[in-house]
Amino acid sequence: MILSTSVIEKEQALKRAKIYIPITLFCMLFGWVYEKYSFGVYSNYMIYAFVFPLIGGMIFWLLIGTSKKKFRFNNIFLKCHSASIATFTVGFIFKGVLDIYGTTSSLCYIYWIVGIIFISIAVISYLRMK
Amino acid sequence: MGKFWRNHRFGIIYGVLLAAFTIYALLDVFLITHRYKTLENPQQINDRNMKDRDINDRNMNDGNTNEKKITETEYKDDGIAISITTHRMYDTDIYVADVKISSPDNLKTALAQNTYGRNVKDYTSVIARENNAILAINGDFYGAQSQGYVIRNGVLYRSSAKGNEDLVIYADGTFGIIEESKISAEELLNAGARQVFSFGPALIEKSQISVTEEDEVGKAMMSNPRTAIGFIDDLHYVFVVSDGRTRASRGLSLYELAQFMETLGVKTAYNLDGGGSSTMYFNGRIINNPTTDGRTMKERSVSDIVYIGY
Repeated sequence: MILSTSVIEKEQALKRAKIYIPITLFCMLFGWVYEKYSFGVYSNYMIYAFVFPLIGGMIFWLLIGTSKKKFRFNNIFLKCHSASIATFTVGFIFKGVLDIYGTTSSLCYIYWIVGIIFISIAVISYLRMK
Repeated sequence: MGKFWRNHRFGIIYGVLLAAFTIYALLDVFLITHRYKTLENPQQINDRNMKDRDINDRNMNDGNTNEKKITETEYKDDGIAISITTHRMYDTDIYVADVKISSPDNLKTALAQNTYGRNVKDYTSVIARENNAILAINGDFYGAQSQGYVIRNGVLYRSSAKGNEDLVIYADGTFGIIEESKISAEELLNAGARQVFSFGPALIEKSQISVTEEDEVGKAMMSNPRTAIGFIDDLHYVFVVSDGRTRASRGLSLYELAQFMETLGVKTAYNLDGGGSSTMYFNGRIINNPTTDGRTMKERSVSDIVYIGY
């Protein structure tokens, strides 16, 4: 199978960075509202769920877009990178909900495992392409 | 449409799968019932206990039956004496049941729907009625956790340690505080544990407050409704429930709860599940104002209760 690879132009990277702005803001707002109505019970998972779209998405693509160096990514990297951010973000919010309710679930591990698998595939595919 | 689908199908399909899994996970945690063990019908056990007790009474009293005194705040018979008082401290209504029993067997626990499991829940008042409880408070809500020792009425249900500080009620009715990391559930059972609660923390140990002003339950930072149980002396206990989350009662911090229980002369006190779960039931009615959201006064379904009865 031939993987399609392409140089990410500055505009494309910045466009990707912009996509993560509303996602980051939504996560911040969701966590803030959820904490506000949880009678002082807090969860760091809920509070910091926005970090994944902020750092892994927005800042990452902002750095790519503003760098002088040209970056080349294949489709596998792009898809797995987005999927890992989505998985970690949802996993953190899910864990936050459980924390605030005062319960636990072994299903949380699925998010961490799937997220790590996606990010590993993304990194491997990028390194192999080089 | 075709081009959009081609470009985004992975994202759409994965998004749907992620959402579906999350919905399933939420249902699994909060709604789907997992029944692991169902016990004998509590009504049958109670009927049998009451029958045995009547026979004993008749033998002891030579035909005279045990006289009961029951008022809104008091229950008294030959084996059990309970008095309910309401206190106002820390801008909060606190309800105290002072309990004296003649046998450690009168201090019991019961599971919702008489079943050990996850998401097997019922109101404290319903579980209390099913078990003919005279007095009851909510327990440690073991069903919300997947780890932490669970021993009830001498039966070991869960032996996986969570690292909590547990309350042990021994067969002679005395209380002990243990750390799950230092002793196994099987060892506790062999040492005569009748009940083990895995919530905490311990509020008072050896007549000394064992929490600080910074201590809290898990991630609860502020005043809340609380439930606690305390040992004063042999077969003499207090059940304490506070209101909270309302304009009338702000609730208690753990340290305030410990301070209050110290004034009652408690030697060992332990914090049970609080918040919306906090409920005290006495002689067929709910004594406190249970609330989860601070607006609606309604009991929350729980996994288990601690009660006084025959």
